Amino acid sequence: MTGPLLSLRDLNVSFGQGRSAVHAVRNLSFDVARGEIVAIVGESGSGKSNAVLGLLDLVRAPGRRSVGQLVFDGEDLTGYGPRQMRRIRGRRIAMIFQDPMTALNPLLSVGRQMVDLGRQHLGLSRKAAWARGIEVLETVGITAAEARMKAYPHQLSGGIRQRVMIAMALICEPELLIADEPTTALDVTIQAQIIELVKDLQARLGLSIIWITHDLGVVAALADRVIVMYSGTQIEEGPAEALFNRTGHPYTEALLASMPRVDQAPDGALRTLPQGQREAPDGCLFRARCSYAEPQCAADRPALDSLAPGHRAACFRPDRQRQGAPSHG
Amino acid sequence: MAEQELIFVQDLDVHFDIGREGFGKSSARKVRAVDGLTLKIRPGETMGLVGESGCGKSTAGRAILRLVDPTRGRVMFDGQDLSALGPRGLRQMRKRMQIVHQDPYASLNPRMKVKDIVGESLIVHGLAKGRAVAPRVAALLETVGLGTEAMERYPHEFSGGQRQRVGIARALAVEPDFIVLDESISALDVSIQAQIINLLKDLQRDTGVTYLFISHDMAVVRHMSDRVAVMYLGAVVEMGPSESLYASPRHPYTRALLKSVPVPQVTAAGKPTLEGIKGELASPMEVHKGCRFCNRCPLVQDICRQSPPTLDVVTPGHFAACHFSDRLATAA
Repeated sequence: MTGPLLSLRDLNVSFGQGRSAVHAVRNLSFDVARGEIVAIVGESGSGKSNAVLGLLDLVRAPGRRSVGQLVFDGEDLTGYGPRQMRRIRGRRIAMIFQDPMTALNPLLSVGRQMVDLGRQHLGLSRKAAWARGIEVLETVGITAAEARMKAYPHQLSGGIRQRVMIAMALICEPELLIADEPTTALDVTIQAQIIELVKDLQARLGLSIIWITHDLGVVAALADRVIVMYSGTQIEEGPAEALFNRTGHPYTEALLASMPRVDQAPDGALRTLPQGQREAPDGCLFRARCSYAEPQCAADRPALDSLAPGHRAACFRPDRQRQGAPSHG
Repeated sequence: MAEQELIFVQDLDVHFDIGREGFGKSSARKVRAVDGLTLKIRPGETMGLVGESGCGKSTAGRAILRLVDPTRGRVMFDGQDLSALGPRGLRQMRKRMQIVHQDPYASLNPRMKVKDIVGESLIVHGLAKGRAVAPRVAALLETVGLGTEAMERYPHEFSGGQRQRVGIARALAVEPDFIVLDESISALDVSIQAQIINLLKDLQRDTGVTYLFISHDMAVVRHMSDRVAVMYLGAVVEMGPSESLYASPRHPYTRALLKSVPVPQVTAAGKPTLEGIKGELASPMEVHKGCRFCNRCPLVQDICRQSPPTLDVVTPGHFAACHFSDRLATAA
């Protein structure tokens, strides 16, 4: 089958009413190709987590979600109700979270939780579900899988717990895996193990992945394509290589320049974003903090325009002369 | 004579008793959070202390300020043994050393206005009283980039980055010689993190304050520090000037840490592979007969399991605790 695995158009998530409403996600539109890893990157409050909650119809009241169009594997999910979405979630689209301790049941052994999943989603027998549990634990590189099945979540280290989460997500052989900051709470050596594991799973199983993170380093190690969010809006999107080397939006540029680098000796002060209104009321949202702002930015809101095939940015001056751009690589 | 160090940590142990092992056994179980730490910090420098969670870096920072009592060893502060001081003497010393914590939500009293949070340390240490407090607080807030309108506000009215600025203003109030920054910027977004890093460096340039910068973030530590100590399971395994430690790490653990950090850079060749390291941190309850890193080390030999390596000079000012640090000299 051709075409993207997932195609989303005009997702909106908001909280509150009228003038005081907070628009957590505005008109978010993107595709995920089969076997592709897409990273959604942004700082806290950028709407990156609400974006996937909205995608999966998991926004809780009083939050509201509306979607223009949502097509998954050729099936139009746009008008699906909660029951129909539940049939897709977990089974064909699986999700892993930052904190496995809140997602795993502390009172049940790993094996029991695996068996429950296998029976509920796949209709397997207890014995078959147990075997499937061991199989997925081995897939994610857990040794002594039989013993781990009998363990309770608190008996496992953070890294193993996150592997168990990934294994559980794989039980139903989902086509799409959505991961929300799954390595943020882990030590860097364990994070490296999980990132390499995910790349390996993508290659072996042909999984498509949406990976939410605030860390541009993780994005570089993992993503084929990147979506940068600022204040609920997609301000740039493109292939990872283009986004890092031919950055289109001044916000992306500032994020990259404000990161201290482990591979480079420090060269003076880090560049900072000017303090200013996070969200301008008209024109470009980012203009109050943008060092390139000009009159047009206050008059109109820039659309997400194409810079090169697959690379888009919401800026009137994507071809600007870069200010003090660091000499990356 | 070499320059006198401001802080001299000598053979410091901090062990925590965690009850007895099982029924009928008599040996008390201990967590060896800090296990034989030796460290010198020179006036006006930033010493980075880096390691993964559970390596003892925060406990070390707290023990240096005597916020926890060491089990063994001593800390000399400007030539004075802190463990020999009584409550009065210690209180006098506290004026010279401060700490900024990771979580500004937990370390600022939510019921106090900012002017009282910052003013309190001035009053407690007898540096100002009555009407003299407010102008001092205003000046401090300005130093950390907050306006005077911040004085009448409560911590919850600020963002995370602003709150951390309040914590820094409070630490600066007593004009300390030494500040322990314990993961002080870890909870902040990168754009805010950059502002605080620049602020800390400016303050150091203007006042000559000495920092112990504790963090798990290898990139931030490189940017902040003049010298860096890498901790693993309670002890320093490598220490040296930032440039040489990052450019040519001489302990396999430091090397593995550096190769685990994803760099925000993509070449036409595609995604980089993170080499990382196998396994996980061993238990800090174990007593180590040999090298504490031997169960995860790619270079491990029999000698590593038998005898612990000492922290030896590899190049002037650069130390590593590895039997095979020579092999890493060229391999970097």
